[in-house]
Amino acid sequence: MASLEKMSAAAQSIIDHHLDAIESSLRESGMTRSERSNILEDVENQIREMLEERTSGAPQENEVRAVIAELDAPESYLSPQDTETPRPALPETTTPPPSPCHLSKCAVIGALWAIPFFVWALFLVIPAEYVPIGMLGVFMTGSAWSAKWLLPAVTAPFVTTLLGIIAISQIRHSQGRLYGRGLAVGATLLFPLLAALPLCLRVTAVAFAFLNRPNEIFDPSYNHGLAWLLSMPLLWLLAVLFWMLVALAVTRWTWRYSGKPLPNGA
Amino acid sequence: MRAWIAQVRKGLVEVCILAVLRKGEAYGYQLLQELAQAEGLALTESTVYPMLSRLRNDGWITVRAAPSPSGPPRRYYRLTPLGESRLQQMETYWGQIQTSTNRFLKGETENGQP
Repeated sequence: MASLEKMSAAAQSIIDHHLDAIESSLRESGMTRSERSNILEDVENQIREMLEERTSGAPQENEVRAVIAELDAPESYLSPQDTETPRPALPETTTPPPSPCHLSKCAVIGALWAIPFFVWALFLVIPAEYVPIGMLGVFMTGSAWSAKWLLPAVTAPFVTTLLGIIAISQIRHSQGRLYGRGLAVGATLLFPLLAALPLCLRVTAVAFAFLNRPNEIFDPSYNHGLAWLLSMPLLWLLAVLFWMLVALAVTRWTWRYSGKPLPNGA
Repeated sequence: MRAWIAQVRKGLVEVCILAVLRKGEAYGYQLLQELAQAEGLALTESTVYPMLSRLRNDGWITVRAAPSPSGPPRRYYRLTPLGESRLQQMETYWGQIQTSTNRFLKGETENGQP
């Protein structure tokens, strides 16, 4: 017969630790104090009964550990009716090992598709020959190179947005198997918004150039009026900053939305 | 499949515990050993002990502590008259659904004809 009363403090602390963990789970599952007390008493009695069956003297630490290893994990008490797991494994119910994470292909392709646009824009803003007709000069000359990149560049905002939306949807439904949300959101929104920036500035520049045109017939001092003020570098800078802020705000909202869990854990 | 098994077992825990206790009072570990041997049920302490606590709160079973002849004090559970009555109702219902389910599984009609 085991001398449980002579159990070492270390062995007893192993039991206490297990019981504490169970109580923590029971408390988390909303059980009352008296219910927890009843259950813990039963578990402790079971441990002592099992030790009684197996040991002849005072139980040693390794013997206590061996007994506790045969018991349900404390987490099993979180929702006893639903999470209880049988010791004999059921072959048909074994869950497959988690598949490795992959970067979303749609997000990658969407991001890569942005490259032609920037190549096109680069050739566009560095024209082969510049004809100084106000700010219209850049448009009128253009580069032979930029023309070759025109088609992929024009399709880029649409394709990247479409692929970005698909990628976000796939990532949300992948339950962690796909990553690349940043790329997807960037492809969906940030790129089209930033791509629109030079376009907006160009339209603004054309408008300014038109307003700033010589008009001695009607008003010789027109160049020093409103159009001149609007073309000041400070206003340009403010316009750029404003558009960047809009782009970032919209992207941030999309980022948060794409990170929200699906309803019902779907 | 796992979810279905869990649901079936969930529904049977109570009736199995009460049925074991109908034979006579038993302490927790003794009850657990008997239930754990049942093929297909494989009930463990994280299921049985919380259920015992709930059945006790519902007044279906009572508990008393008694010294063990060769070990720690034991907590003996026993069926109350209310628990006995509930068990009879469960038994009746279980018989009905068992018959119906078997009939469906065998492809028989209401009259027992295939």
